[in-house]
Amino acid sequence: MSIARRRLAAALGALVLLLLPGPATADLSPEERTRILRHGPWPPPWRPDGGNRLSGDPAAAALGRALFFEPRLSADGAVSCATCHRPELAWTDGRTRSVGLAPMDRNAPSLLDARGRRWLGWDGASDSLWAASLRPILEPGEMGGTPGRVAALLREDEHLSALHRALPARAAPEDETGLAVDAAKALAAFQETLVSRRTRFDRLRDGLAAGRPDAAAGYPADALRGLRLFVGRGNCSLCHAGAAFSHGEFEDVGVGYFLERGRVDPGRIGGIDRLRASPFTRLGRWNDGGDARPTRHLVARHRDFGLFRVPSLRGVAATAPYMHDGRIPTLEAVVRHYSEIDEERLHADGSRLVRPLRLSAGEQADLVAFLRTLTPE
Amino acid sequence: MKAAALVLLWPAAAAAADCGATLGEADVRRIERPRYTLAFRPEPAEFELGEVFRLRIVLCGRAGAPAPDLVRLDAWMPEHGHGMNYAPLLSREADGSWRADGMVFHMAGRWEITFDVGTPSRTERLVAEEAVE
Repeated sequence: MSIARRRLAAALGALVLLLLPGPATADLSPEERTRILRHGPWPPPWRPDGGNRLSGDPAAAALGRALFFEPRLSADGAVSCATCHRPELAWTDGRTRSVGLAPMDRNAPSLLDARGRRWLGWDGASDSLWAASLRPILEPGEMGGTPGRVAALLREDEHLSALHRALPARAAPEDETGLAVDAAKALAAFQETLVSRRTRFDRLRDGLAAGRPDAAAGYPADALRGLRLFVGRGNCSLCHAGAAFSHGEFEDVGVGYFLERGRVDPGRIGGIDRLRASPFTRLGRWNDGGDARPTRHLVARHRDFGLFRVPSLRGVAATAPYMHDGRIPTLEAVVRHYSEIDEERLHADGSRLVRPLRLSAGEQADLVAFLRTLTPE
Repeated sequence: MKAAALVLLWPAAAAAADCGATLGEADVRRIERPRYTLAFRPEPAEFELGEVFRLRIVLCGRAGAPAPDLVRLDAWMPEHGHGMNYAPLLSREADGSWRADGMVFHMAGRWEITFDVGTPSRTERLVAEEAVE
């Protein structure tokens, strides 16, 4: 065969390889494809929060942004929302447990993609983004603020006052609590803009959805093996479901709930108590509308003790350390936890969701490789 | 006393009885028992993961028997051993039908909806299987 013919044969061979499905995605079963497709598309369509009259309002987002970085909201004038949610750390603080006015019991979750969540906080003590924004401002150990302090800033600070005056008018009187709620709703409007970027996984997923033969082009082989574990034997996608990689509810994954000095973190059961005791819920007078049915029909059960909200996995490689108390430092250790989970530590009544996966070292590495493709490069 | 019975669901079109005709033509499930029929329809018609839905339920007597009451309603995932995180509110409509508001299937997989039918002191449990993707 001449050199020219060999070159032509090589070129044709390369073309055929490009046109055929990659061997990795061709191996996917119809069930695997269906399960993978359920994790998209991303980002989801924007739906304003009917409970927040300022949702989606650019002027409110501008006020919210200013308030987010405003330490004067706190009792000592030194703690802002950004103390625990730093933009350069994927809106976490990188600590095991956060420190506001006092050391806290939980890890600061990322604020990315918080919009649209039904429950916020590790225990779901808030049923809206605006209520979740007000809670830390008023918590004594976090920012220790008061409605009066928030109201004074909106009334007296020239810049903040001007931003507040630019908001749509509202019927309720502007008492201190009403102004604090306005501030919280503006903070929520700002956080609604924090949406995680598309990832290598999204390109793979959308390629599969479109039936493109090169869907896996550029997607690492080890990550694809990890993805198959994730939606298959690992059963991870039962809880880390949907485009957000979370079903948004609460589970026990054997992390434990004991704190120092014999204290325990009651998790979801405590969150439900706090929600019901709060005037700032979807059932309260400060809510502007929207769907309050989940809050109305919420039920507390014994098994809710020690459960914590299933976090989204989008951007997960940038949000270490992990779990509600930040006790697991790396993604590798998280996967090892699920591989070797101690069933004796699972305390939720009757739940048989979590079992030790008994993954090989290679499988653990594959799962980590997949998780890393959920974070934008 | 409670008796458990897992029964087959007839497609609406094939159901002999007219029970549940008021629920509409499509998406109606029926559970046939010798002395009564339970018909129900979800709203929205498709179960969507994590979304709130309602059931509309009709109970009809058969062979001259009166229609029993719907005493309780719940749902759970037998493979996982857990139920819903939300308590449905059961209420009776003016036309004698029932509605269950505030239900949420928060996990993909096989769910069983349980209907306790009869009187508060004596019920029979009917079970309908639904798949959520």
